[in-house]
Amino acid sequence: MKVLVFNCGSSSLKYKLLEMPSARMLAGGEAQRVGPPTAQPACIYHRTNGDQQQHQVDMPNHAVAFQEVMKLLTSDTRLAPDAVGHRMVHGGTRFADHAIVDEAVIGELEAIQDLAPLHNPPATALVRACQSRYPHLPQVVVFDTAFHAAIPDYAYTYALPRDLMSELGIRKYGFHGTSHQYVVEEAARLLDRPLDEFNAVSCHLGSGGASLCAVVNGRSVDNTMGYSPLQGLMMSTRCGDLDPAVALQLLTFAGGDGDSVENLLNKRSGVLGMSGMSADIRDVLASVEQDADASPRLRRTVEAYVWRIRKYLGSYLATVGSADAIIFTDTIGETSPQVRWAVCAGMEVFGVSIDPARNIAATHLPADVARDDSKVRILAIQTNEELAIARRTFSMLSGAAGPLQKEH
Amino acid sequence: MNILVLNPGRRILGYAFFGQGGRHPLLEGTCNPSCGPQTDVRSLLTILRDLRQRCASTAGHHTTDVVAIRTLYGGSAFGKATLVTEQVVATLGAIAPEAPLHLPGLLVLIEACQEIFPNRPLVAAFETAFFVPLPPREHLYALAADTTGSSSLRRYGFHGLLHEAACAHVLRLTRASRPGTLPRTLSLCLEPRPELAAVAGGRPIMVTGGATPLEGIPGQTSCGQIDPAIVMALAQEKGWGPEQIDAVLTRQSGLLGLTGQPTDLDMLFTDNREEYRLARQMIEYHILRAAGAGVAALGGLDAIIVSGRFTQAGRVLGPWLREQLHLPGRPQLPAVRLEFYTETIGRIVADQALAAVRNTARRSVA
Repeated sequence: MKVLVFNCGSSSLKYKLLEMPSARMLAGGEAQRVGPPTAQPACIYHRTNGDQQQHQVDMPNHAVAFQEVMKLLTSDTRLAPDAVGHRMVHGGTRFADHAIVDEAVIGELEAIQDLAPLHNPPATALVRACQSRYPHLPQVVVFDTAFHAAIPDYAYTYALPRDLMSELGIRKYGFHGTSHQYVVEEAARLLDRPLDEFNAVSCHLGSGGASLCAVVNGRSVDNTMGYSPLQGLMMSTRCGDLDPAVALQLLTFAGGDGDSVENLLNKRSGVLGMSGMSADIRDVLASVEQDADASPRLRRTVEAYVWRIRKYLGSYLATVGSADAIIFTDTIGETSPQVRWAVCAGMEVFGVSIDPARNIAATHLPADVARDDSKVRILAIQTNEELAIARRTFSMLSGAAGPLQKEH
Repeated sequence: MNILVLNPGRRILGYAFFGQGGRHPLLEGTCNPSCGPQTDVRSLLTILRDLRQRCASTAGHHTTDVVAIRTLYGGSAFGKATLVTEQVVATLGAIAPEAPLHLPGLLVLIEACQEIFPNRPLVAAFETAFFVPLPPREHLYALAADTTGSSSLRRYGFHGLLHEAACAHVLRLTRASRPGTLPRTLSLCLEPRPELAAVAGGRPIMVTGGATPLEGIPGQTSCGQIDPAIVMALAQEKGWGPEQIDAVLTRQSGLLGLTGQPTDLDMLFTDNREEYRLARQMIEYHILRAAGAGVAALGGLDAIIVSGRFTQAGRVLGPWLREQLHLPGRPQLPAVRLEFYTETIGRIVADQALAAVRNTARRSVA
């Protein structure tokens, strides 16, 4: 089965065509600058067999981008997809599991799109376009929130008036679920542990968003992100945890304009706001390492970034019971040995002992960077959300809903 | 020395009068009106005059020697209990906008105390003082420096007086049994707004309280840690203004919001009612997560100490926490010490006031 996976950004459309279950990649690419015209022309970078082509084409919206991508793929009959898998950031309370698309599902997707105003609307429009253009092509929607559907009520509930929470759908949803689930399954396989007995803390440290996930018996039991992706760790431009009274104070300053405060806390805080230099913690790390006189502001940015991860790691190691592994993934987690070291060093009380040489040497992933005597393994694993989505799509459509690691 | 401790709250003024060396107050209670920003100075003077009279007759016509005020906020300016001087009053006036609900009323109370107890040392003991030395990595929020237009925005804890006294107690016990070690301690303070701090020796490393007492573990009516985006969602979806949102988050949330009825920690942990189940598990889970973060901050754990007025909850939560904290890399022995600290806030403030008066006297002699 050739599964075409779409990962819809606010102004981009990434895609991969994978032969399933072998997971062989047949084609892939990205449509960039989807939406209103920008200074540079919109363009599709299309890759097949190590060959990359560029196609300049106007793409005023994701539906058009989708049609252009389909044109490229179907020009070669060997690349015509048998099924489509869509990444959807937010499934609300309605979608505790992934869903095979039909009219009813599309209607419900449209009803919940305000939950993630940047991500859900274009992805939903894409599902709709795909359904009307190719009504016989089976589609599956894979939700980032679905992995977190098993979080217990005492961890997903906020201490707010209950009627207010049910009225507005306020609860912890958690995010990055597709990535966390993928690396957790990979980690269990690598360590040869049954997934349903596997406990871990998964650290998805992206160059943009970042979250930690507590995993018990292969399932998410907590995530540092909450009702929205704003809560939790300090991120590239998001503030993460903040005293709600401070948010209120900002709201007062802004004359009650919630949008402007949301923008401030999501786009101009975090590493960018604190450092005043870059939204990428690797830039800040590099200047602190190279310059002994780096400003205290930069040093504090690095310290605060690492400190928040360490605190949550301690929280989750204390709550998951016997952890088998700590998993690092996504851009920072995969490529920054400095961050892995700063997070794991001195955590011996939790049975965690990182090996400095292995950590530095870990360029080919997956890698185990823990010392031999560490009770908890420390793994760096490359995330692959597209493959995870292709696996879900394949298993849902073939009715084989068993543990996915058996596909290998 | 006879010490009168004043504990100004939003709606009431608490007091406790301690005679020479006594652990228990000779006189204690509360009176109206409050010391809020709108406090009427004249009624306050009447109350204090009356209080002076009652203290004097209780203590066998001895006078009040020292007056001490429990102060909820002192910002970065006050790292310990301080004898109130003109300079101190000026500083408190300057930082008053940082705590608009407390400091203006406090300044009125100070003025009244100076009039009723002239020539008596007046000491302010700050709940935030213990947390002034928190490391920047812990006290900074990930905001741009110009976000709030205020350089004073940072994390404090808000039960510093109890944490400090409790951890000093642990220090005394450990010095006796294992001299030369600085105990790594989790200090759990069970008050209407519970707070957990991680303390290395006597130095705080991490705390759940925030820039205000709203952040952290949910309280009797306060929400504790929430996604900051929820604040904006309430503004956008409900059309509420900041004051209305503040009222919901601080007075209608927490245990009240979850159970739908006035509930405190002792009720939650002694009564097995089904409607308490979720709130109880949430409090446990918040405490366990905070404790895990605290152990990560400390790099180990030697002691847990539980303080605060909800002692029945403490008797359940203390052993539960020691049992639940999973620390596979920690040596089995010595076991994590579990202690309960039962001294009242009044006595702690009195002790700090005495120390402040003695230190000042010593300095002026030197």
